[in-house]
Amino acid sequence: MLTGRYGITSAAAVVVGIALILLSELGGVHAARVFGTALISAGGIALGVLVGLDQPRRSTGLARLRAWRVSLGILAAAITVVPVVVALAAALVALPGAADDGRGGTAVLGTLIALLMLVAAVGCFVLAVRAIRRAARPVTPGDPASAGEE
Amino acid sequence: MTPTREILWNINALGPILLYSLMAIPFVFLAFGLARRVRMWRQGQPEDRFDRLGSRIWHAVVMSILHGRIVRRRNLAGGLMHLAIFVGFVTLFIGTVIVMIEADITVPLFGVSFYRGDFFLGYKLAMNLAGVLLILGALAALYRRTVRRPATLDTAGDDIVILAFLIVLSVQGFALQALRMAVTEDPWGRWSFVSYPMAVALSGLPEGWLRGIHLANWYVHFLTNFVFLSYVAYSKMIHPFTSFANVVFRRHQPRGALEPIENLEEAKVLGVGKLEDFTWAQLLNVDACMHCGRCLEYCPTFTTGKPLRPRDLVLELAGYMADRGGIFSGELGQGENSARYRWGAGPDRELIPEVVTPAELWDCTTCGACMEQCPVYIEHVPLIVGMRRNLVLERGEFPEEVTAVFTNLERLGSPYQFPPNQRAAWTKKLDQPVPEMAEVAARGEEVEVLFWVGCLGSFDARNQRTTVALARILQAAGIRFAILGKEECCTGDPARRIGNEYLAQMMAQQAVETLNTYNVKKVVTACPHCFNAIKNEFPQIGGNYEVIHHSQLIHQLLAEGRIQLDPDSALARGKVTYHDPCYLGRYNGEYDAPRAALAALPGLELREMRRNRHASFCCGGGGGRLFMEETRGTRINQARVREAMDTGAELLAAACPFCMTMFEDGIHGVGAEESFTVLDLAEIVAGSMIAPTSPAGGDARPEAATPDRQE
Repeated sequence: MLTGRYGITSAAAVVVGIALILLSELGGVHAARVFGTALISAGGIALGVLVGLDQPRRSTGLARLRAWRVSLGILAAAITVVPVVVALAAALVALPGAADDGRGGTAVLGTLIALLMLVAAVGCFVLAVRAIRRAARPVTPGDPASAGEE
Repeated sequence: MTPTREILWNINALGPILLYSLMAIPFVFLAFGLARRVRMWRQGQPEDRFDRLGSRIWHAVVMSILHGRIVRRRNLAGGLMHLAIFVGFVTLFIGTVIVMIEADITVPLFGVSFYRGDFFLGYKLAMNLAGVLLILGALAALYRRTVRRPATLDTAGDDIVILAFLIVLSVQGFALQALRMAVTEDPWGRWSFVSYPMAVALSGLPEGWLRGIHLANWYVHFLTNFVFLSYVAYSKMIHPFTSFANVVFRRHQPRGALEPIENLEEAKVLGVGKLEDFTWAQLLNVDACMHCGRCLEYCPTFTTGKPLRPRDLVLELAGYMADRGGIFSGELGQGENSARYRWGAGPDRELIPEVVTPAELWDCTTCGACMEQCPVYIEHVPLIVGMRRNLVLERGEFPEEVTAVFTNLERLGSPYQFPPNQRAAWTKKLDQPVPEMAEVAARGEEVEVLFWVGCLGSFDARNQRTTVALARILQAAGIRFAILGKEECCTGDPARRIGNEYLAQMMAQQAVETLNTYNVKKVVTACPHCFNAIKNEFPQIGGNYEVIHHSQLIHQLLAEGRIQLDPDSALARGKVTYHDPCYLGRYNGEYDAPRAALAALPGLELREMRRNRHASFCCGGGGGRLFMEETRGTRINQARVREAMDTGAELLAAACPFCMTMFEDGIHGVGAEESFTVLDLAEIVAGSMIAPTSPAGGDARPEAATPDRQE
């Protein structure tokens, strides 16, 4: 399907869209950005629909991705969380300096909020890693209780 | 100084280039997953669900926004939790689109900026509020799934990952805003009531650090968004699409009407024996399940420990469909396709019994509690009856006890082994004669209403008392009515729900022909199953009548003063609880008339059971279960009787012969014969009726109604 007329048109739309984005950001023609975005979005959606409606076929790339899904999932979770953890931890570290400028109460409140968010973010990371690992375990057919919490 | 902010602050040209160029990837993944799903649904049989598309979409939008079936009194905490997540997520999404419109359309194309001033301040406030709602809602959901873990809630890894995504995305958003404001020190920063205190806390750090951390967070935030968007179609987050589609394409026929098999004699497929035998809308139904477990909360089989769990049945089908549809792009036949579903185990299995077991199918009482509770309008009962049809009609497999029912229906026109000429035997217990339609027609007369007695009301000794009571009420009210007598036959309700569509259509056809022969316009019946079949299913074969349930007629007669009750009668005192029959309440929406009729007796104190009205609990007799043995788990009728007794009532008011039979049995089962009684509404009213003054009135008290009551 990708080699068909619609597939080529869709891929071309994405390429032209990227070109327009480059024109917008590097050439300073900012009016081109919305057209580039529209072409990229429409082209991407069309490509997805065309492949999705096509007959399913084996893809070694996707099979490999599936085989690595646990490692990739954990890596993605870590990448997702680390910068925000750094930002929130920075708020804790910066508190003494911030408290000196007359806004000590607000700074303490901010630190508290940051701490709560830090706990939430780290907690989410831990739960997500556990969930990713558990989801990869084989399940006995017809035995829902064996894999779950019921 | 006008309040606003620089969009893409601290981001050089590379940022937007990557942001916009990589946008194609999540769109490809999302569109691919959705298209694959549509492809899976299209495996099903054709069915027209595109009528009134505008109103369908409008209703779905309203239901989504108002959370009509999600926030319910009995699920208030869970409903509000979902509402918080929904409002937070949608508001933040709209906020992102607003920024995009400003940055990519209005400013570069028209030189117009609206993202400033009061609008900007309100925007900041709304976005902070939305972020808080989203985080709190998602944290509550995590708590519910990982700590509270109610028995009806099943948690897969996917559920946790989705919630983690939502929380981390929101936290990233707050962190980004705080880092920017720590540098820019916006004088209107306080409008961002969550980020501002964090910005103050961060302001002690050197600007270079703040900019560096902001840059890293910005890139990771947009990548996280893209990964999340790519993940949507392969996770539970697909539900905004599938659930919405399911609500749009939900069945608009009366809920009590099962679809017939058209051209039964020529049909190549009888019932559902393969996944492809379901209609596309049923496959969409299956895919829309988000395993919230609401269907289990009132399910009589799940709560009494039987194999059927409506949610699991749907998920078994969903896993099987994913296996066969190749949703994750593998070949057809990839077991991994159902990784999302713990039940998926390969596409080579036979639908029945390997995916869905016969035990699950035969457990169902078709009470409709699952469909009533489902937030996304999944219709479990038609799925189950479809598979039952295949078992009965294609394979000849059904519970042994049902054989006699089928034989009797075929030979005698009723599930019982009584000849048709005994249908009117109960009339001998009345002082006044009850005319039959044949006699009335022969005299060239007409009646106001046909009394459809039903098989249980005709032949079952206990239910005959209800029939007699109702006839006495009709006579006392001076209503000209008649019965069909030996010409009456089963409506086909039990046969249809058991899956014998052939027999059901035969019965229904016979009944409609008889009714049409006498040009019947109005029918009253004491049986909700007959009521439902005549009202909702007979029109499918040309039988269109005004049908009223006896509770509605009694209420009307009381309201019009056509029958008078004695407030001092023995039956009109004490505490009573009323059981809503499924085929009167949930399937036909009648909850008030029976209660209003009971309220006409001021000496009766109505005590509601814990599960009442639309959330009522089944008696266990529907779906042909009245004729089958109940061998697994605790008995449904006993569970309901105990619940009725827990109200402190001494009397259980029924309005259905099936329920009556089940409750009589249940009361014996729990050994409460001495302290607890079940009476039909007609018996209570007839037993409290002041005898009419008309010469032909006779004694209005129903035989044996009063002695049953333990005083």
